[in-house]
Amino acid sequence: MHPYVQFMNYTRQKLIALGFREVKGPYVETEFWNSDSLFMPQDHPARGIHDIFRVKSPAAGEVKDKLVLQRVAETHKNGWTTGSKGWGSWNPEQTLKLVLRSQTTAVSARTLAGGARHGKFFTIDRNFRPDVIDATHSLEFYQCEGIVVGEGMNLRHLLGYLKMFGEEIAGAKEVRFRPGYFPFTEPSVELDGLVNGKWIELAGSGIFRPEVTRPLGVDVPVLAWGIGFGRLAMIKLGITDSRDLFNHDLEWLKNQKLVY
Amino acid sequence: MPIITVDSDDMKSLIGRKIPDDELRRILPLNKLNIESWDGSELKIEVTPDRPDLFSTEGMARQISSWLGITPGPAKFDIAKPKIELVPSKVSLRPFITCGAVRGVRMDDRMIKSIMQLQETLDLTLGRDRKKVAIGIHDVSRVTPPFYYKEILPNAISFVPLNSTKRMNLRQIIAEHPKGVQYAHLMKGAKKWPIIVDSKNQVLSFPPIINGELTKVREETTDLFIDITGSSDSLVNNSLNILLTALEKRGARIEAVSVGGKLKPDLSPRLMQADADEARKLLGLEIGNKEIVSLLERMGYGASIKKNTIEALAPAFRADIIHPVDIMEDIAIAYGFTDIKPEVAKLPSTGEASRMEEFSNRIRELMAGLGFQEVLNYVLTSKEKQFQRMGAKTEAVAEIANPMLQEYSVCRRWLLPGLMENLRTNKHRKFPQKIFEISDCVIPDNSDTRASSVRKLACLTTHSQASLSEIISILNAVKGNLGVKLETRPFGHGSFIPGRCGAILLGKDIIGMFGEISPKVLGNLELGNPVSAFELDVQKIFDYIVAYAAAKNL
Repeated sequence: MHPYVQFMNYTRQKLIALGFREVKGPYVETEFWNSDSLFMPQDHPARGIHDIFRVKSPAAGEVKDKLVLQRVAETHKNGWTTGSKGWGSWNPEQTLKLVLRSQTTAVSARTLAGGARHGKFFTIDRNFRPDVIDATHSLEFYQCEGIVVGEGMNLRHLLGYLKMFGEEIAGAKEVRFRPGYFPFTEPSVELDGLVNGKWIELAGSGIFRPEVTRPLGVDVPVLAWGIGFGRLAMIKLGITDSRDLFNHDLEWLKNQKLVY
Repeated sequence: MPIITVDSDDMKSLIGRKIPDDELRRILPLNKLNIESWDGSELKIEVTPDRPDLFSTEGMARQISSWLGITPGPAKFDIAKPKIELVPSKVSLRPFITCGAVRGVRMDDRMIKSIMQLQETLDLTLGRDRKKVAIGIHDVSRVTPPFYYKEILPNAISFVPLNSTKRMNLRQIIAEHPKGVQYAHLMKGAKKWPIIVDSKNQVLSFPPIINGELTKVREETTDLFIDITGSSDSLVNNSLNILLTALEKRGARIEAVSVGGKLKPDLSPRLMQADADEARKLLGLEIGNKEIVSLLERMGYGASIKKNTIEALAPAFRADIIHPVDIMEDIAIAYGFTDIKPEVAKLPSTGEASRMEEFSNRIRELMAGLGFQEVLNYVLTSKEKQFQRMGAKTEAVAEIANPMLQEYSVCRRWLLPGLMENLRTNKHRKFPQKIFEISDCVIPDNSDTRASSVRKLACLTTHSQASLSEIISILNAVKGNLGVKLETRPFGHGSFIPGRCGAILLGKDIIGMFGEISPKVLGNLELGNPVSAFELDVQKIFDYIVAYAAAKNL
């Protein structure tokens, strides 16, 4: 098995053992699931041509659940019933445009819309962003994304899960938290971990904003986190060049240690 | 995310307390200020886009000072009566304008650097590179109010642009001046362009392009006039509030400007209400009402609690408070993220693997058992690699509108081309080479995203004696374990030698193929040994198994 795949399975098993259910989503996504349902404003810089791959053919998709579509539209326009001011604008054509998924948070949005109201869910899958391909950058990269949905979930529980991931999955000796920012979470938390004697960024996380959850029909708190999977894999596999995550040199592959 | 350069000595003096370096290093990240680098006294700090008020040393110092409890509570800003009036009129390209004025500015290096950086960062981020917000800062001593904001024909006026000596009209500036060339696209679609002039028709600026040399800010300047034009009233005024309060922190006095009869800035705080019980619940913190009030004061709010409702007055330079949860995050930041104790949640749930992933893992084990090495390839590829190079007919693919390289401009429909390319880089490695990949391809269809991710398996074997019978025996070994009946029949496909190729069928559907790769394709890839291969649509097999099991259970 390819070492990166071995590490994916290693992580999958840990998360399943912690009670998480695996979910999946498509590579080609509508802007609706990739960004709009996550309450990112439609003119957010990260949605520009330098930060996301636009699909020109096929041209546009659809949102099958018209009720959810309408609620998300209203939320963008004026906050709908979420208690927010909204963004004051909405372009119904833009939301149907197709992109290559840039964040696995799209899968979390679909999972919530699909009826998840209680439980823990995760996915480890590929995302795409325009970038050069060099030792520290790639066009295609894996993220490990998860959500915890349930009545009474709070910020301290989020820190509890983050601490657990940091220790169990990244093997951090110590963890620390600092405030962060994502358009779809508030409060947002950045997790750092002491791994191999160095402090590194491990994950971004937060509690989904009501502007995200309520249009999807969710009335309980949703904790969400995303781990920079490539970086973790590189540490575990002893790789320093991110291109090696997709290395197909048979001699190199033959000499990679098993991951367990 | 913007990186703001700050002088740490400057920051400490604005905070108003001698803070040792390691204490500052500890405090900054707890206030959403992440240190990218610290070289001598040069701090580079990454600021999140929700806090444009922190794009300057002044803003950061105000936040830290509040958080440390040195200057908690809402800041009070004295605004002097207006002496300057600006008369706006219809400007189609940039419909909104706001203005501010400050007196008694002391131009020193650190202040100039910080304010210029603030102006540029606001223009770039909030302003979406001047499209939505553009800021002009002027020395007001050489112009005479009232000022006028209007739109005119590009040849109707000329002036000497900033740092220039030549008089140019607006069209010339767009054509010749570097800023004009850079931002020419913002003039598209309008016959008349924006201009700000004084009562003697002298030009202050041509927003968003460039100011005039006339109002250039010099070392001796003490009084500033600020113009902010853009696409929304709230955006331009939020930017004004951020800029003016930064200047105020440097000791400048804010003076009102009458803009179309309205006095600007409006620095009164904005009310946001939140439920105190909801806040305690969301944060998981047992904090009393009095403590909530004092925590908000450490974030620069004025706050009071009436019947469990938090009445939070957010400072005018905070544009990010749009929902009660924004207040709750600020309460947590004031509490101190390092002081919040993680708690293990009691949410029992059963873990479950995705069955498709488990099915794929079993196939991986099967292939490994047959002596194959797994490889992992990119989804992004080119039509040339997917079809022409493989001698295959071009089929529909998901195509990227903005690829960075032609090499990565479409999504793969099938895996074999990637495996064949892997062989090219392994030409000088030992043989036999047996590789496989089981991963997703993108097939255009009628799903909600018009293209679905489809799990496929492909494998190949190459060595001097690689043959059709070899790949057939491997295929048979795999087929047997899949739990479905797969048939084969002769097939023609451009990538394979005619007569040495077969299709794999599930019922009547062709779900894969196998064969010996044609010499032409081997030649395209400069491969010396024969290759035999097969590719299988695992998704169809899996979907069939699931549907069959479901039907059986009914």
